[in-house]
Amino acid sequence: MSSTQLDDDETGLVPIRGLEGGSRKRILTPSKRSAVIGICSIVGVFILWQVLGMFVLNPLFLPPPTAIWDRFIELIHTGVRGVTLGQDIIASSQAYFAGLALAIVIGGAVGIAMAASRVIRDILDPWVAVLNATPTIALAPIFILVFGLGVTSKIAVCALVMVFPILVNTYSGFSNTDASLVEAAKSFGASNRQIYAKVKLPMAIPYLIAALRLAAAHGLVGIVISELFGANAGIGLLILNSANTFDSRGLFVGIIILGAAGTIITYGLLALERHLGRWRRSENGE
Amino acid sequence: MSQINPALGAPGGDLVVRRLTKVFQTGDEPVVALDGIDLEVPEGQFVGLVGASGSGKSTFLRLVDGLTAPTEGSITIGGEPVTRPGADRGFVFQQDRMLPWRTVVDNVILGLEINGVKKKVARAKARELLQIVGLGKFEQSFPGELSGGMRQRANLARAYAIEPRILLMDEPYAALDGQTREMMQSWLLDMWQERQATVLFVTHQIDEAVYLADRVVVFTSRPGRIKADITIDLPRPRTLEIKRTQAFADYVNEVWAHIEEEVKESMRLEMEHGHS
Repeated sequence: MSSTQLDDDETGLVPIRGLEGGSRKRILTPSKRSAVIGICSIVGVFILWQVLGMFVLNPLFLPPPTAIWDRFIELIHTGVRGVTLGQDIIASSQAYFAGLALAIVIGGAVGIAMAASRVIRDILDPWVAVLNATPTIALAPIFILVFGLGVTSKIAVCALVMVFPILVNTYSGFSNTDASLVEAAKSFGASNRQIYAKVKLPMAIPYLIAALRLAAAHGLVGIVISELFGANAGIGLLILNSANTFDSRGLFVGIIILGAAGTIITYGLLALERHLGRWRRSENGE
Repeated sequence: MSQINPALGAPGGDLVVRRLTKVFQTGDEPVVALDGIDLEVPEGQFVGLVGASGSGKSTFLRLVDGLTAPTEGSITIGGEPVTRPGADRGFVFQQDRMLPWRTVVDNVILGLEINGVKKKVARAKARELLQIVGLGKFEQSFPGELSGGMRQRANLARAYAIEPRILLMDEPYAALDGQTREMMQSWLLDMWQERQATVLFVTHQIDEAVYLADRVVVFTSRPGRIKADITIDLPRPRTLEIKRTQAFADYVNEVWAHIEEEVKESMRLEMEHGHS
């Protein structure tokens, strides 16, 4: 009886399809249109930049994109001081991802522990509040004093700037668990581990992805700063060397690589969030 | 008993509750939710629990499930004391409590999964149950896409999936419309007849309790005690027509008479202390 009524609700999608079919003039959906406009905007600015760079601007400050591209190719093949761009990218990414892994392990564990235990939260909360509010990047010199100039201090600085966003968001995610869902799992005899795996972790996912997005952005700052203090290879070092030698084209190669990396990571995580959160779209309908 | 997993569908047995007392320490003074409940439920009996709000019926179910520990007294099932929730008992909450990020079929397998049944086996079982509750077409939907009634049916399928020996139902149909409610009632009776599990069914609807149960237990309000224990001697299998018989009306009136003063008392308390 009632199920047939609900079946009718399900077919409520049909009129919407009819609408789309009726207006054939509009080829693009609004979201696709936004994407096209966005891409046009980027391409347009690059063209403007190229024209201004060729005729108006001092190439020492703002070299045109084609000149940056030429320098990019040079850096890939020959590099500076025997270090190619590929080696720079590998050196930076290694430290970046090692730092990220460390930050996930430490920030995740501490965040979960703070959400699980009131005592642990009370002990750590003031420290987390203070350190989270401090620009931790300012501690980078200390790490370089302790670990020396090398990959260890780079990893440490990256981990330091990434750990707090991860910790704070993990804590929020695991302390906002819906108690009634936990109880439902408990009523089936779920162990503590099962409650984490089947209820608390899936509930925390939006927070965890937000944590990664923040951490990813902080980490890019961390890697550059740590390399500015000294390194054998890396994008930060490339930027430093280029600036010291008035190689503004090389400087822009470094900046654009960082920007591209940040964009790819952000959009990758957004796509992941959309995939994991696809159930949420169904809820908005109600 | 279980075809799915020998660990499930544990032996069960009679439910024996002795001097069960539960005191909550919230706010300034302790609240006695249940005060010395004695109850024996033979295996396979369908018991309706009624009483004014605040009579501790839900607390009683939660104690039997092992979700909360008694202050005093004991609960045993087949002689074994209840200490924690287990696969021999299935709890149906009033709100459906579906995990919103899981599809309907993956919600139904939750209890099986927790008890170590392989996902593939569990899903096959869940699909079977979803067919029975009329949600076969919606197994891949998310709970947010279903109506309240459909979600509650999925919730029942989830509790049934573990093949409990005791089904604890806390006003499971309170949020449903009349039509869906009657459908669910007859479906529950069919399942119960087939499975012969013990059922403790909390409801505010006296006719629902009389229609479903072998026995209706009336709780007093704060503190919760057993005020009356009425055997419902109506023939089975019961159909909706039975609700129009004189015998049915007599039982409803009898239960109502016991409950009436409790409701008045509870309303008086609410007027005095504000809504709880």
